[in-house]
This record gives sequence, structure tokens and C-alpha cells, in this order.
Amino acid sequence: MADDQDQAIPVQTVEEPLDLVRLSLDERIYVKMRTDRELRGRLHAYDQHLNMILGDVEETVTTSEIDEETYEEIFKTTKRTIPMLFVRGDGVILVSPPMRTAT
Amino acid sequence: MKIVDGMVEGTRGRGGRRISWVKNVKDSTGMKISECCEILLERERCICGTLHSVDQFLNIKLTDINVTDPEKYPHMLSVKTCFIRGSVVRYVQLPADECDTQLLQDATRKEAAQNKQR
Repeated sequence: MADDQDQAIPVQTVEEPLDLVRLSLDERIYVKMRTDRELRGRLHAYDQHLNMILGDVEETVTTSEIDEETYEEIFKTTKRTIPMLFVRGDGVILVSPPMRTAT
Repeated sequence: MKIVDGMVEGTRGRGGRRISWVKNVKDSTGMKISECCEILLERERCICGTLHSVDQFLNIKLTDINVTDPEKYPHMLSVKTCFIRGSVVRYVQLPADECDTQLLQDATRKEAAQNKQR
């Protein structure tokens, strides 16, 4: 290993899943959370538990309600924005790299 | 024989309409589903405070705490400091202007590289 360990930015290689997350650092990512929550924000930090720090986060909470007569599910979404957010990793379902489609 | 010609107490009769889970919830709680959901959401709370310490499990000690929406949780008004078990935390909202994002990203890259060497 000729690489200096104190090198500011290590060589970018993809060998394991978390490397993909590393490539998303400083990019906007999509995070699906348990209890029907979704986050979109800029990834600033993460660790092996997928604890994350996101900036300029938009949180979308989806709640469902069942119509009493038709038994149809009605979905309601509420959104809020948070400038800087630490997310505990145990609630994370999926992390998706920067989206190219506008949402 | 009972199964063939009768019905078990509490279940629908043969050919009867299915009883939905929603109805069961309504019968046992006496509330609408939407009210149950609200109660579920009300269990979540936000606590604002000064971060005193954090340990390896991300247990958090806060001082000078305020509960947002004190009308809902009057019992929290008298509490000045608290200890939160890390596992029940979903989010921590941080003051954005005090976060050095460049430092965070560099530290994350460094840590990722170190984890790989092990």
C-alpha cells in the first residue's frame, strides 16, 4: 500500500455497497425510512450503521387512511424541510444515489 | 359437527360478510382509525435542548430542555434535563450554520478508507 493513510481523499474504488454511498457524498440523495417516511437531502456524512447527516432535507411523511364506505385507502403526504439533520441508521430502508429525474 | 352446522362465537357466519381488520380496531377502541393514527403520531415528540453529552450508543443527555407543544405534554414542563435512550431516536436536528460540512465529508471518507483496511 503506497497510499498515504492521511491522504485527504482516498482513491475512489467501488468494492462494497457502502462505496456507492461514499460516492454520493455531497450529492443530493433519496432515503427511504421506516414508518412511511422519505427524505431527500445532501449527504454530508455517514457511518457503517448508515447513521447519516443530511443537509437541506425535505421529509415526506405518508399516512394512509381507509375510507369507511368504500374501504379504499386514501394517502396523505405532509412535507417539511429541515436545514441539517442527523438520521439514525436503524430506521433506514434504502439509500439511493443522486436522482437524475426531477421529483 | 359444530363446525359444520354452527358458527364459532365472534366470527362471521357462513356466507356472511367479512369483518375487516379496521372494524375490529374500531370495535375494540371505540375510535375511528384516523383517531388511532393521530394518537400514534402524538406519541412522537420533539425535545429541544442543549446537548450535554453523547455516548457510544448515541444515548443523549440534554440540558435546558423545551418540549415543542407544551400544552400537549404538561408533565414535561417541569423537567429541565433529560436522558434519551439512543435507540428511540429517529432524528436529531442540528444547527446548520454550526456544521462544517467539508469537515464532515472528509472525516467520512477517511473513516470509510480506514474501515476498508481492517
